[in-house]
Amino acid sequence: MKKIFKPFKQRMLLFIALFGLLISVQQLQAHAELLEAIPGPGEILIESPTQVLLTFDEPLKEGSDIFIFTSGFQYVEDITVSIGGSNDRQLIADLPPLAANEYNVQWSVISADGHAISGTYAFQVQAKSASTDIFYWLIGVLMIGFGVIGVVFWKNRGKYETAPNGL
Amino acid sequence: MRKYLFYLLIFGLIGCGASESDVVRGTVSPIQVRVVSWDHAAGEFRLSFALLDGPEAADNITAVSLQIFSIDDDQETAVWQGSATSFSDYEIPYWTAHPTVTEAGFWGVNAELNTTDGETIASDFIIEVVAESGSPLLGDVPPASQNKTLATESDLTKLSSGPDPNPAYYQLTVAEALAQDKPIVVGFITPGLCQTEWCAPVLGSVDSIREAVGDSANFIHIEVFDDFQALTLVPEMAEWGLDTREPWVFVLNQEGQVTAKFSGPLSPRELDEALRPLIE
Repeated sequence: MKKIFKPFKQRMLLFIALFGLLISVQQLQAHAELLEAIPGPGEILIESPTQVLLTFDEPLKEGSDIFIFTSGFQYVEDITVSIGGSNDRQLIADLPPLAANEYNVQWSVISADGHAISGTYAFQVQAKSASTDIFYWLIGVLMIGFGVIGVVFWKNRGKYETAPNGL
Repeated sequence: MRKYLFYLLIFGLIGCGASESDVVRGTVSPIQVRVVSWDHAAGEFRLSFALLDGPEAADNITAVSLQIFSIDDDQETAVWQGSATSFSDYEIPYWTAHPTVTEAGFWGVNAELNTTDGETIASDFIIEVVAESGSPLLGDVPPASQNKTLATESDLTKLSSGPDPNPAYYQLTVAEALAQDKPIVVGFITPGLCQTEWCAPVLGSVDSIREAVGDSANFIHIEVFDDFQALTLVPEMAEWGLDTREPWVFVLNQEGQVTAKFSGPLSPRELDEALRPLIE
């Protein structure tokens, strides 16, 4: 088990302090619910995502946060979390490049009514091999080739049609 | 001939549009874990969590085993391991375990989920364990509260935020109930002001058990809010050391000692399992 870094604990403590404060001054009538997560639960990516984007059904308040940790509970440092500028129902974590591994997204949000909820899900960044790259490159070339041939045939279709009188 | 050319064109265009997909579904757990309890104090505590597959409860999980690891040390040995029990008789089915963790801090939880098709998938999450619970501990006799009853507040609608309060819950103060030789169920719940499937059904769970056991136990509902507009808390919340999250349900034995306490969702069966031994 790898040692978790201090900033993680500090941020968690700060979040919990805010959590208690917000909850104590304003009670709840509803809960912000997660509508969409990108990347989503169970997704396997072949490239590191640049961010985690979570969309909720209610506006979020400061104190909402996202933590990323690996399957060994090793915290991912250098992530920047913000509430979406034009969409205050979105929570965004800008990520550093992630190595191939399984990652857990633990989110905690405080909705505008002061209620806090949290959840955790996993996604995976898959190692991309050279053979995978070549495979996709070949597939891409073939598909584009078929496309070009199809367009050429389509544009010249009159030349290949049989005359109406059968001659 | 034209037909074949058309198909060839379509195929080609699809080929052009088909780029390398960034996402595939695979072996990573698609399950989202939602921890729904919060009274996690060093020692043995109740840990409840829901398992969601998309927006719905995952209905293909047959068993859950948990291991709890320190995330502060390079420990590879779990400090606790055990299984969780499913409580599907609730609006959102949830699982409950009773781990023992002796130190406060952040702890990593590895959940192994067995599915109906024989697979085992893993989901990790982190919980915080606090040094002490502010609420009455198991074995404690809680404060003999002078909560509002119909004897002191005749307007039933001021005793509960719920749409149709049941007078049976507002007959006794906690102090009066403690003076009787009966088990007691005390619920701090705001049925009308928490309307989601996570907390609103708790009073319903208490209702079904109250109907099942009849006069064998006393049931008291304490509304969380004193004023439903200003949302000021009733003094009993502080008196019992409850943080302002709700709902809370306590089960007390004939001696008035707390034998079980629940933060968050509570199904009828889980409450019944706590109360039944006291009345048999």
